[in-house]
Amino acid sequence: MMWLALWACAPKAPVAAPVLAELDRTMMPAALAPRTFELPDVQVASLANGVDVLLVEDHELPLVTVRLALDLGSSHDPEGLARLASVTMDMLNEGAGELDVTAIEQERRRLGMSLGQSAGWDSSAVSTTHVTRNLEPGLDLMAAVVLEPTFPEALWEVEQKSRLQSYQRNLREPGALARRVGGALMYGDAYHGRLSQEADYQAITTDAMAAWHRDHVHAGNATFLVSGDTTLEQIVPLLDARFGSWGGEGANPDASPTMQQPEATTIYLVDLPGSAQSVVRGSTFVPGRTAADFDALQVANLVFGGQFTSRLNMNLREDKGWTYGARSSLSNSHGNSLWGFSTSVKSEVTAEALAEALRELAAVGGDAPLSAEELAYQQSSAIQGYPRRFDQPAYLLDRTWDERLYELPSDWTERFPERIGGVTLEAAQAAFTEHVVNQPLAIVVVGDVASIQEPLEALGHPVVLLDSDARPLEN
Amino acid sequence: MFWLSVAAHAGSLAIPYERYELDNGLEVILHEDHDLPIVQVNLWYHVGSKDERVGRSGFAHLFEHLMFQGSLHHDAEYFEPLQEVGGTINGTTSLDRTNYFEGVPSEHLPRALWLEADRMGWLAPALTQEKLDNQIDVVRNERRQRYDNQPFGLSRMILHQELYPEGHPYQVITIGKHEDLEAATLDDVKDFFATWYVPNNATLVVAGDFDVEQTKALVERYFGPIPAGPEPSHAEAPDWSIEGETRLYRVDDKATETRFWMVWQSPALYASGDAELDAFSSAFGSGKDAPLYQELVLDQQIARSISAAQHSQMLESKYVISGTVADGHTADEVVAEVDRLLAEALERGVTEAELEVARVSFEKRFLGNLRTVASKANTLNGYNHHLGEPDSAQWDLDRFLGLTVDGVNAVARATLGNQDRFVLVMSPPEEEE
Repeated sequence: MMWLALWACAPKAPVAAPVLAELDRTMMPAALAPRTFELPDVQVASLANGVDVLLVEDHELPLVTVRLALDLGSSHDPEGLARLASVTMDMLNEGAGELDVTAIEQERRRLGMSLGQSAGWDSSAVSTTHVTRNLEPGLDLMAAVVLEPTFPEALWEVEQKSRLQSYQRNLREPGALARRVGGALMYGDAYHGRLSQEADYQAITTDAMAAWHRDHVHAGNATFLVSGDTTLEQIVPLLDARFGSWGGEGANPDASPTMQQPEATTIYLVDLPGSAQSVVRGSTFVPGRTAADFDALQVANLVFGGQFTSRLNMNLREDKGWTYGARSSLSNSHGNSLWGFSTSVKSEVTAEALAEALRELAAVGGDAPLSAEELAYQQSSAIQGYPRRFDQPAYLLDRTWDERLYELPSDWTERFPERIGGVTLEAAQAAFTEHVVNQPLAIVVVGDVASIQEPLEALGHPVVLLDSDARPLEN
Repeated sequence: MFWLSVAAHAGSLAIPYERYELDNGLEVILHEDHDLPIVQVNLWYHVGSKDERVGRSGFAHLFEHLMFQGSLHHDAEYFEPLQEVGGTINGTTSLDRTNYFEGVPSEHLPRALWLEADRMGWLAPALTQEKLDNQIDVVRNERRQRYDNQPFGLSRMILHQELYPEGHPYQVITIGKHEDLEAATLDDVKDFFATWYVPNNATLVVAGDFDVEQTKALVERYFGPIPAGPEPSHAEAPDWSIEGETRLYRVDDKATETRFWMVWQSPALYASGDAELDAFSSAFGSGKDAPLYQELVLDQQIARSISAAQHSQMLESKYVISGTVADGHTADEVVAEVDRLLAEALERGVTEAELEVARVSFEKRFLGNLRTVASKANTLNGYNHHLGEPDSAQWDLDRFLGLTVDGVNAVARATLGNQDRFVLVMSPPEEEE
């Protein structure tokens, strides 16, 4: 795969002549000759049982990263057992086959291997990194953990108490609390919005973990993502020997999350008395990645709030000094994407900062539409910044996995510069106005209610007090 | 970056570089890596919050923020011209140093050098009260977000304040005190700039895809005319030691559980004994197979998490055993059990097998640090700052590979085999019945 540096950006400042001229420091220096960028190859092979192996070779260092990706995560945790996927994945290394937790840890450390498990909403993973010379015994350990976990009862009792204690802690962490309540408001009581509560952790049993493992951690859901100091000739037989006869298939539940588009812009207020700052997040659903105007939306979002130099941060941080930073972003999943802005502002200016963010938003559809200059700037930024992302081979694997998981076109990543470069000002303006500016927002504010409620009510939007489970409180 | 794997540990780790100095004293280090068409500019100023004067805590970091607000010939945001070409740009300040870094497409190396040189030479003429006021607000909001408004967010601040004696360079952590930040004046900024931001107190690393001769010419062109300044005098390690135990109990309004930190003074980063304590931690305090976790979390279940680690710093380090107390138990109870286990571990000593485990994990950590051009650039500058030799990766790894059981045990006993320490306990407010 090859991508040439096609993008010629028109710099805003005057450009000086090449190096030999007398130095005028007021002139931005001219660029040197552009260099080409070649996207690394993703090699693909299959194990005997049909499990795909994706490989990006990189022999600079004697390290090999092997990640088992599963195309199912916490979205479908059973009713009353929220976080089952996450707990199950976490417990994989607490006992496997003949090995107890101590033996697993000793072997892992003897090999200089890292081993981590995780469950996101839509996918889960077992990630390992090995020094090349210990790859084979490292894969043995990985296979034991993936294929033969024992979920020891006694260790779950320890882990359960630990989870309950950190659950309480997270309810006092303002950013985590805002994400929790925001998720529940946008996704409802299912899929991405399901709140974990004490009762869930108390209800999860090792039998439930074993069942989740049996039903979902199988070859039919698996893909191996490999990068580093190995080749297909080496890694495929090694994986085949350990995972080639691994069976299992079966349809996963419907992956589309439920979505609750807000009906009217509403401020949801969650109390953390004595907060030094308020966390403010506003969200709305927008078309997903395969929509015709998604790229236009992406570029427009960069102008509005996607990075440091975007309007939102330049206003709230660099002009007003109200915050350490403010951003907006698109998070992508099955179905629609979620657009949102978020910031953490000094308590005294909570209402002013929110009003200012909403004013910035309205201005895009009103007296300050996106300009051609802003659009060109952000296109240049995204496109010229593209090669840098591939400094870590894992990035390309992550993107390739993303294409597969969400059934995107297989050249989605490769065509990124072309897609971004093709966005017109009219398209960006229209997409952002229609899908963001003209949409009602669900706004979550976590802070010191006693001091911020009144000023927030003066903004003219309904204000609803919620508890940490997103349930309305009696006023 | 070459790795010649000849035997288990007998590799050779190298980051080839060329180092030279401009007439004004600016050190320059070049490292080529042509894998991707990107180049990293990584500039360290040899000044950290340890060098601040009393009453101006947080200043080194506040100053770092002002470095992004414009200079004489580019009196505008520094992010703007670099994000325009897809570049990354940022800076960080620690107790010991300040760094600035940009990653840009190779063809825009001149732009990054032009900007770095302009703020090194001509920041002062572009400073205004308005910029200062704005960034004081931003930094105070950074403190609120990352420290004041987080459960246990103030723990490290309290720990340094109470552990170190009055006037110690590490007594106030880098973010600083609100009242000191508020008190900063334009004159303070100009003095700080004149004292510390001189080319002879800085080291520039350029790493990645560039042409060496062309880059040398660019560096000379942009940085060469900046005049050298007086040699700054850096903070020195005070001669002091903890005597006896101080145990401090604090209430954290945002906490829902109790945590504790047991802290001993320990050898400085790269000093004799520093690597030994890392190895001791590997055997005693990290991992689910280590005594601390096995006994306190799994068996007795009086702690929910526990760790022991050497926190390496330039002037002197601190060795910290910290943990989260299980609900229904007390920090004093856990600390007493840690003491018992620590005494046993020191008595028994680490074994050759445990040391071998530590060696492999350090090897992997070293390799992991050399994965990206950005981290190689910062690694070169870090070694240069602390050791005077940019390519010290193999030397650093050898510190670990060459450890002996006797050496590790002697240092661990000397550092931790006493009650001369500081203990901080932070708990939630008492519940009102």
